[in-house]
Amino acid sequence: MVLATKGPQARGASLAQRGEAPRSPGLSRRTSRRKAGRAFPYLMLTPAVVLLLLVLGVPILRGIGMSFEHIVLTKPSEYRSFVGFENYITMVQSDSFWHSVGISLYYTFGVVVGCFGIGLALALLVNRSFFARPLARAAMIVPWAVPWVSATLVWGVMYDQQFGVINSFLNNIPFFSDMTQRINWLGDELTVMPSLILVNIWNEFPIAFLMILAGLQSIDRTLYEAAKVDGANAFQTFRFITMPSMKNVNAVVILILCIWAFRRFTVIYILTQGGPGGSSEALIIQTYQEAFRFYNFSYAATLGVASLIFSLLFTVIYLYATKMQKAGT
Amino acid sequence: MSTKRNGKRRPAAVLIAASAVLTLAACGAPGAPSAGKTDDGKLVFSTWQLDEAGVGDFWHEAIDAYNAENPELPIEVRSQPSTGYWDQLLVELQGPTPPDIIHVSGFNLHEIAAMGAIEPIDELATDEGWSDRINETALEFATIDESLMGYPVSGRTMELIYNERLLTEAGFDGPPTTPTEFLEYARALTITDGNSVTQYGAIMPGGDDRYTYEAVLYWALAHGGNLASDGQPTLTDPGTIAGVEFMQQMYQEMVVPQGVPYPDQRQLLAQGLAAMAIDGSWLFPLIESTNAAGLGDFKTARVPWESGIATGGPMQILAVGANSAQSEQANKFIAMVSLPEWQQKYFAMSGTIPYGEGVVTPDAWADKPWMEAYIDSLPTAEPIPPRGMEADYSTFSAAVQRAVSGEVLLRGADAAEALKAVQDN
Repeated sequence: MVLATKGPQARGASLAQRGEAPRSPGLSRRTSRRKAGRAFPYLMLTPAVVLLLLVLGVPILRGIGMSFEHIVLTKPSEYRSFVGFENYITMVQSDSFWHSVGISLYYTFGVVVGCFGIGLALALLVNRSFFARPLARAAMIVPWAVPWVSATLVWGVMYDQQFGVINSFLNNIPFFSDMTQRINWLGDELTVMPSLILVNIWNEFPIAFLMILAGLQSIDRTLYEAAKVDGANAFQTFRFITMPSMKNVNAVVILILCIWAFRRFTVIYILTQGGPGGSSEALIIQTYQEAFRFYNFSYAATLGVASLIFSLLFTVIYLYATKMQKAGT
Repeated sequence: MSTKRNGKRRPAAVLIAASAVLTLAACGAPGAPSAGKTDDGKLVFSTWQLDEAGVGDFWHEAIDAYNAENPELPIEVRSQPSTGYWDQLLVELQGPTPPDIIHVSGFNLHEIAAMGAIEPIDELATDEGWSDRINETALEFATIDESLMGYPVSGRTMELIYNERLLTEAGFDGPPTTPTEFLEYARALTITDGNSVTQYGAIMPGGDDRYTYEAVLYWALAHGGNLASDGQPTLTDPGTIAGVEFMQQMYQEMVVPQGVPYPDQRQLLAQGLAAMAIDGSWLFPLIESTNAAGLGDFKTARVPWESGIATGGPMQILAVGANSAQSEQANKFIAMVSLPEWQQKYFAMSGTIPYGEGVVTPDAWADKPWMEAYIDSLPTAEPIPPRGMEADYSTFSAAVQRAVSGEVLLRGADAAEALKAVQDN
């Protein structure tokens, strides 16, 4: 049967008018079962979504809300429920904010390059067959298994200018023993950031190592065999087979490391609290100081929103890179 | 197609609506001052000392004694370690059930009073003979706008602690008595081995921590300056600048550790790796636990400058929460612990000095000879919160500390210019 008309009239017409046979009760049951079937996944997701909204969504939204208020805990009489973009204007006009952003980006860059570089090198090494390979793999993960706080405190002792093991070791080397003063790793503006970055790299490279190793093991072995037959050397194999096959894994590893490093609090706070003289005051440390030293919760919330924006930026860059990569292939 | 899109949009719309509802539900008005406490039938005491060795036993005993006499409304304790206590207290004060009896440090008394979070205890002060039994300077400190805002339980000062053995080995037969002597001693007592310092002449706060502010204050006092007067910063006064320049000189000459957190520096002193400090009596339990054999080497003297004025003053204060429904009972507890016999117990158990007149007798500290300097100087101690700007202590102290630790000590900036920048802001 061909319908003479199309459009709303046809859609609005009854089945009888359209000359169709009325639906059987069985068909209607099937339809409602299909609808229920479609709703089922959402129903299953509901508890998780509600939980996420409660533990993530509410604090984030509340934080954003606070950034438009004026809340200084020690001065409750100054409370204002809405100050517009006042906190944001103060933030972007503040030198200390941009200084902190610079420190955070420096820290993030150092940690990502270090973790990724070491993780990749070790994963390539351990991906080969050799004696005691399982032991080597397990050993690589040990730093990750050590709690951040314990590891950081130990690093603090090792960095001590007069009594630390690092300077004691270096003092056996002529160049260092000729110096008039031992290096003040955490108390000098020049050395404090590399020292903090090293602690973070030591603790976090295993995650990069594990993910890259998993990626390496998923590469089709026949590609390597074909390359060998074609006479490719080790570098060419790495350049034209390993790295292109690892693009997605690498992007994920770098993104995760970026987000984690940008928000890393433990290492900096325990070792320097942002010092000396603010030279390691990353954005996350400044946020903490504003909240729990000056009790300026609304400005701290504004800094928190800035951190969130930076994290989102990393994600957008990652998504864009992935999209470009897919378009390229 | 459009139906499909609608089908996808609907759950999204539900999620957005749910998040909006949850957000609105979560939005109160934090930061708004508490309008007062409803009578919840509890007498709540907020303190950070309940679990501290020695002084914690005192509070347990005092609370037990009070509860035995007042079983109808016993004290309920909200205990929080000293780290984070002030943060926790600030949050509690904004909430619906602020404490009735508030333990607050001398640093923060004026801030908490400016918040309107405590009420005067004038009635207690007018009890016959009460005011006469408490040190006048301490009462003055706790009096704000002619109202007594808290009971000063105890106080402390920072005095000279020195390792007598190290001084004798270096040829000194007594402690330094002037800043110039202090620097000379520190130079002589600093021992190096190649590029390594094996013993420091002194320890000195200079990092990004709260200790630095007090160091600036006492070295300013040593040179005849101060950090504030009559509600105005006095950072550009010659004495204040001279004090900071003195800190810079010690730092640059490396007679004090550079870039070492102050708690770690205290360990150096306790282990005999540093010879002198300006610090509190609480360092002696640390020395005893770290270096019991060397405890006898450590002696105290009044601060090494002519005026002898040390930093300190009231440190433990008991206050009553504003609009507390149990203010009568709260005052009753405060009256109890301010009795001489309880103050004597406090000294015996805590090792810090109560403000009761004549409470601490030489017999009471015979086994703690280092206490003499602290007891002598307490009545004249210079309070740490800036004079006339006490309510701005947190912000002001952070600004001073940053300028001195970051600019003057670390970057070697001119002390006068760095202090002027803080003064102008």
